[in-house]
Amino acid sequence: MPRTQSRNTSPRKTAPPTTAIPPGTPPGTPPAAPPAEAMPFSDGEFTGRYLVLMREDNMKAGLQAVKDATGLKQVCNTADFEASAIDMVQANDAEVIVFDELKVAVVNTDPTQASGLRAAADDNGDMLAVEPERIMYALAEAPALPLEFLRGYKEAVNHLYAMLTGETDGPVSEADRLLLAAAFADTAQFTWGLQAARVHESRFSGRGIKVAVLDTGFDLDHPDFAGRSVTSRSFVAGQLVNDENGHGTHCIGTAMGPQRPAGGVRRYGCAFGAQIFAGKVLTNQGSGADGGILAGINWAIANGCRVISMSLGSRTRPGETFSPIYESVAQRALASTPGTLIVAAAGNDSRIPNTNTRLNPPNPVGRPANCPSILAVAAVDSRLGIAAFSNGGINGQGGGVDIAGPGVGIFSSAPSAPAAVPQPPNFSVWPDRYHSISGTSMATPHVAGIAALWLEARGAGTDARALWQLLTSNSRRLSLSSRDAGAGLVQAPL
Amino acid sequence: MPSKKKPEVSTIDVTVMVEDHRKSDLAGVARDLAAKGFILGQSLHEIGVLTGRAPATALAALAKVSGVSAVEESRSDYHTQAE
Repeated sequence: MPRTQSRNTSPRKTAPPTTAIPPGTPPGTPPAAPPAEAMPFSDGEFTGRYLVLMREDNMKAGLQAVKDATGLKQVCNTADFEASAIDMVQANDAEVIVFDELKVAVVNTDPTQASGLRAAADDNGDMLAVEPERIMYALAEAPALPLEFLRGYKEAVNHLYAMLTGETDGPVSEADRLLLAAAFADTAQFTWGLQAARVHESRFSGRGIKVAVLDTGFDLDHPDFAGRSVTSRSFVAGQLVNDENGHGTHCIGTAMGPQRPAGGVRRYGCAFGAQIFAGKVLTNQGSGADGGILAGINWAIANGCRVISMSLGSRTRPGETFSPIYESVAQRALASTPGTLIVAAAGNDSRIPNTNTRLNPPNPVGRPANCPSILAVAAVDSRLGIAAFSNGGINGQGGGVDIAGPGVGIFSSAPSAPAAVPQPPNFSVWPDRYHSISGTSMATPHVAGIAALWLEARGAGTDARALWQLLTSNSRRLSLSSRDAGAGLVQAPL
Repeated sequence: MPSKKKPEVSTIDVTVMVEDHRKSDLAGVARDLAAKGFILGQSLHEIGVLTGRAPATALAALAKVSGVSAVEESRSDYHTQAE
């Protein structure tokens, strides 16, 4: 057995965590923890030892060269062990370990001796290479860091930076500080969605702009809309435009509800000065078909609507491409002068049923929002996190999310008494006049109404393509992927 | 003797996109489509779209009619997107 020689100059550096299992260990025994006296490795990834590759045909000369260069004498050689199975305990005590078959020596040396070794290797043909011994780790999945943690960390770093540099207009804006504080919430004056989109600070109303909402119709008798310009038409055979579902009334409320609702409730609408075009393309049961939807689009464009809001969709499969007909219609509308912007819901197919968790990956953006020329809207909640149900842009070729809007717990108008007949999917009874519901359906009319505000702000001559750019470039970038939230949270012009 | 019934051809809902340069003549395109089995429903002049019905087997032929840029079977599975 090689004589053990301890060195008093520096603590022994031991092998890395993935130590070889000593011979004789019963199978299934977990590897031993590193000895208590193990020192942390100064370079992080290196053991402090050196590997020397020696000439195949003259190991002895190479080994002698190592000993001469380092002054080390104590050698432990695999050739000395049964079946070359070196005893790692003895090996750790040696100054030089020789792996005879590999022609590699592991040299336990200090930095001074190591540089001597390198110099000698350059001169001496018997040592072919010298390199520091590295620590190797088994590859395992790192535990995923929750996004909330990363966002909080990012905000904390930004805040610290701002404090140290004295920059208040820098990385941490006032709006960002709000993120560190409580989430948005409905107040007596405004819904949380209007606050998050800064509609409550906007001096614009969408005056002079025609906005179409193609949906389940509208409660034409709702007191909050008395005196408003309303043009309505049904494209559903056998059903009047009057909304007996509730969804259409709710969406129109979000897009264009009044500045001061008659009931004295909080403001819930974006473009209180816009002209309402209510097209019924979905039945009172909430379903629809291409014929009615395209007829509604045709009517809206023919009447000079600058924005069309469609809180509707048909589920798509991963890999499915968009409809060339809807794309062609939307493209023409965008390219016209001044043109029409079509906005549609990204869809709600991504919640894991009966949970508050989102599928990973999410389900793809639905049709027709998946058209490249249609602005696809995802939903965020009051903490500006992505809503569990909100679809993502997993299909290429135009099926991306373009922008996000407030879509969870959205307060808006509902058909007034008698209240809407309970409808699928929830068959819940809606309260009189107002209700809070969730969906990419709710996010979409935020974008449509805010689009009207931008048109008023920049002039009605602003064409549809430019309007798309205004919305996306002025959105508030969130710490969410563009797959999920597009350019970010829609923001109103101030 | 029982009367012989004509076999009915089953049709599906169809949407037809008309090329830009023929948009002003939707009626003419509709006539050409009718010759291939298309039964006109709506003429949407502003967007250049015809909706109607046709045998499923006729779709390929409809797509080849002059002035037609796309033909699709219509979908009827759209829903409101609220939870």
